[in-house]
Amino acid sequence: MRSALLPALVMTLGAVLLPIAGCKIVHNDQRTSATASSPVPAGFDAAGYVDGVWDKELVPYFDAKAVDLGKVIDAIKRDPDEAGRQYGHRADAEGSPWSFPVRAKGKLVSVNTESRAGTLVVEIATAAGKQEVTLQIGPVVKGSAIRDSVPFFSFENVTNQIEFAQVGRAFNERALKQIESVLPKLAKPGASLEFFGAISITGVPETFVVTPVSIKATGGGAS
Amino acid sequence: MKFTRRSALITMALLASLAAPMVATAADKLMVIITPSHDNPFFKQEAVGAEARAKSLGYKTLVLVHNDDASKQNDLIDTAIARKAAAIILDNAGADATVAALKKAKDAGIPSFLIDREINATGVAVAQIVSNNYQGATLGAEEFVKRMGEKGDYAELVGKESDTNAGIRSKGYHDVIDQYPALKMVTRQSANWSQTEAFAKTESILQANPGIKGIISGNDTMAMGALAALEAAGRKDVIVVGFDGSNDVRDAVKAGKIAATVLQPAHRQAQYAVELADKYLKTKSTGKPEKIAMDCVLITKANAGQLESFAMKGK
Repeated sequence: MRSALLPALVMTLGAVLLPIAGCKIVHNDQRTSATASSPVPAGFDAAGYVDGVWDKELVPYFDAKAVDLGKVIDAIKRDPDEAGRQYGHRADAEGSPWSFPVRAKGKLVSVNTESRAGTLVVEIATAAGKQEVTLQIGPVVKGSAIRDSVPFFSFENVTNQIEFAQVGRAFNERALKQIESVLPKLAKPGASLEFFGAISITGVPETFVVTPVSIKATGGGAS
Repeated sequence: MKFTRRSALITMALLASLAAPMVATAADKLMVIITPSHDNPFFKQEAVGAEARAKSLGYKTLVLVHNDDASKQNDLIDTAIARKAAAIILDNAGADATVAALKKAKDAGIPSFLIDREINATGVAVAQIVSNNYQGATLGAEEFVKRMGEKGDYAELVGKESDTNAGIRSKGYHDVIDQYPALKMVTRQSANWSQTEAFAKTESILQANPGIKGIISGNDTMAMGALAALEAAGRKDVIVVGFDGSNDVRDAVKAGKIAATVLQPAHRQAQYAVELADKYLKTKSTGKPEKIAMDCVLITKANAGQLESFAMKGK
């Protein structure tokens, strides 16, 4: 009797309970409506953040960590990932570019201000020979090499990609202010200069583009 | 005594019958994959990538679409909770609207892994693998500016306004283009990510503004709609730039009909989310920060040949 009753009870109860366990009644009282979200969060001050870290963190970081650009370029041409591991920095994500804090002395080859993305072409020395590099002098500066070359700021520090981008732009804009006063002294090819800056690469680039954080005119070609 | 033993047996049997379906569900290890409509091949590729990776890791999958409707998404999250999913992989329907739905899942013990779009909250999803749309948009805009010769009239086609990425891409475009005073936007219209709407909008834009030299589009399906309207009007001189890296636009880039697009690594991103979910379920940690930004890649005639189904070959 008992052995017959138990499975029957279990089956009956199981048959009643199973559908309930497997099929929860869904309430829609927590419905939310689609709202257009503003891509620009209010109250985030990217320029203020950058001004706060520029002298305190960025300048000391470049002073201590910037690697000779010629050395970095030779290393990138051999193996970009190895160069990155040795001298660079990148975000914790697949496919992120490597960014490097760099420094170099060079000679001005040309000044290009026809495009609003103005540049200086500078010849530097590397162990493998002479190398032309491009320095962005604005007013339009492309990319976010400065932001991406420093280890003290990352995507984790902000709410979303707009704020992340605003910080990148704020670094670029601050850099333009830093180099503004020296640019008139770099008008003629042949002028000597020293600079600190950042480069960002994926693979071996055709042109090495530097976003300078400081430039010093060191003689010759002054107008 | 006898009665007590018997009732204890019944209780145990009852418990076993109750516990059985729960154990079975957990062993099934279901991954629920939710994306916008598969009409856009980008989202289809996300679902395909996530589903294939989940199956190869031994999970059952349930693939759902929310069609960019936050209340539908809320229902789908409820479905995932009811089905006792092991994890949710989601390309979400709104940076603010999604937060409450995912909190519900979290409270039910279901971890969420976001792909493509981010939400305006942290600590709700376990991972947010964000396609850096802003960075991608600046790449597209820089190429657009270059091909326009830094001057001329242009039109912008914007995506669905409720989608965060529509705004982010537009902002990325303008943060670059607006630095060139000789580039003038004559009109900015939403075509809701839709090819047919983009065709109709472009037709009327061309009638009202025959002088435009360029059209910058918030995604590839709208770029294809714009291209069809330009071809119908016999306009081969207009510079078109898209966003996503679809095979259709790749072919148009190779043929010189579209100047450029921007690849979001949709396939890999979806797979990566599943891998992080698997790791999290096994070890209680992804070993990565919650927010991970994945960069986009500019696609022009020079590298279009390497692009296939939202991935670069040889990478």
